[in-house]
Amino acid sequence: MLRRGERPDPISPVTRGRALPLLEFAIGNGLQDAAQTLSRVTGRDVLYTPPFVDLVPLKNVPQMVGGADTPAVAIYLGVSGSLNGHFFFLFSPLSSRQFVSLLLEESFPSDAPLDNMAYSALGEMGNIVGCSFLGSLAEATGFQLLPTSPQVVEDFAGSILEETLAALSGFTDEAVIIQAGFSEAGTAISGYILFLPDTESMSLLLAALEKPLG
Amino acid sequence: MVEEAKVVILNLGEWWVGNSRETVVAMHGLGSCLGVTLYDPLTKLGAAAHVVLPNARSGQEEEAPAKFADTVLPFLLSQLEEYHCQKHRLVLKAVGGANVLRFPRPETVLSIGTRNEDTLRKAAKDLDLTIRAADLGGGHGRSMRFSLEDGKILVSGFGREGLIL
Repeated sequence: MLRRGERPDPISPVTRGRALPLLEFAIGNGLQDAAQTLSRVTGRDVLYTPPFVDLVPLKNVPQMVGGADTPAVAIYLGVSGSLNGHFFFLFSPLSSRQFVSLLLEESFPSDAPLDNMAYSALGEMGNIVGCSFLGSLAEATGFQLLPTSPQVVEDFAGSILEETLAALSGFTDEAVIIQAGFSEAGTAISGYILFLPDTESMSLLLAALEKPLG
Repeated sequence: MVEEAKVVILNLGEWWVGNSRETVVAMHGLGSCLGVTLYDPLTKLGAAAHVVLPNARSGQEEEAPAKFADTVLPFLLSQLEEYHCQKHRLVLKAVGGANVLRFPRPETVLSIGTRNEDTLRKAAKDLDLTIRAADLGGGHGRSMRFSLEDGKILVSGFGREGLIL
């Protein structure tokens, strides 16, 4: 057990090398499930883009998503169960309006502020993507992963992430970052999925991925 | 000739001290964190820090003294002393400490943003420093630019009019 304030061991390159492709595979499955659910909900043919998955130092996260002062829309789900963590699906304001247009089946102006209906649609979409993502991780690890209800927020990317980064700083060193996207009728909507496990949880996750189930 | 401003960007836990008046110290996308500045209008000496958490646990202060609301002011003052600053002339300002997301937590547990603000106010009081201008709390993010030319801070709140402190 780690004591408060003590840093976990760094993840070994071997573990990282083995676990990362498995993580990518699991996340790909999750996004495929999400695309199927989105297709069913919207009655459209929603496709997913094969994800690009990486582990990055926490301090580089704001830069990776375009800079701390980049305007962004994010859907947040807290995660508890076998491990604790934070799930964010983060994309540009333009992508968020495209998502809303897709979900509500009517064109949402790209420069209009999000209204309650739009927030609610994005929350539902985040729920679908988040639950599919966690479901695929749970399947690959045998973990039980429980999401909170979604929160949708539009703000600077850095401002959205800061409290989570602050809470984890000193305990955790890395986050899972995923370039993820969906497309419908030639319109690509892309963003980032961030999964930030609490202390110890990243090592637990990677170890569980490495260990074959059953 | 007008000298072009040199922009120094402070990320989480970073700090800056100096008296080059063409410098602008920027902090981008502040959420729960605080942008804290001290400035002497007479000598144009200034200091700034991007504060992340309210309290340093033992050992953390030496590692990152500007990262914590309870240690940032004594630390910046000690740095300013090397420039022979007069403490009574220093103007303290603070920006940030917002609650952008509502995390699931017991009602009695305050957010990091609120605790950062409370801790800084207490630390300032203990040092006989007055916070002369502030844009703190609320539910939106902020970016700030602190000019060493006049000590003014330009705050751009997300989706809001700019504000000068």
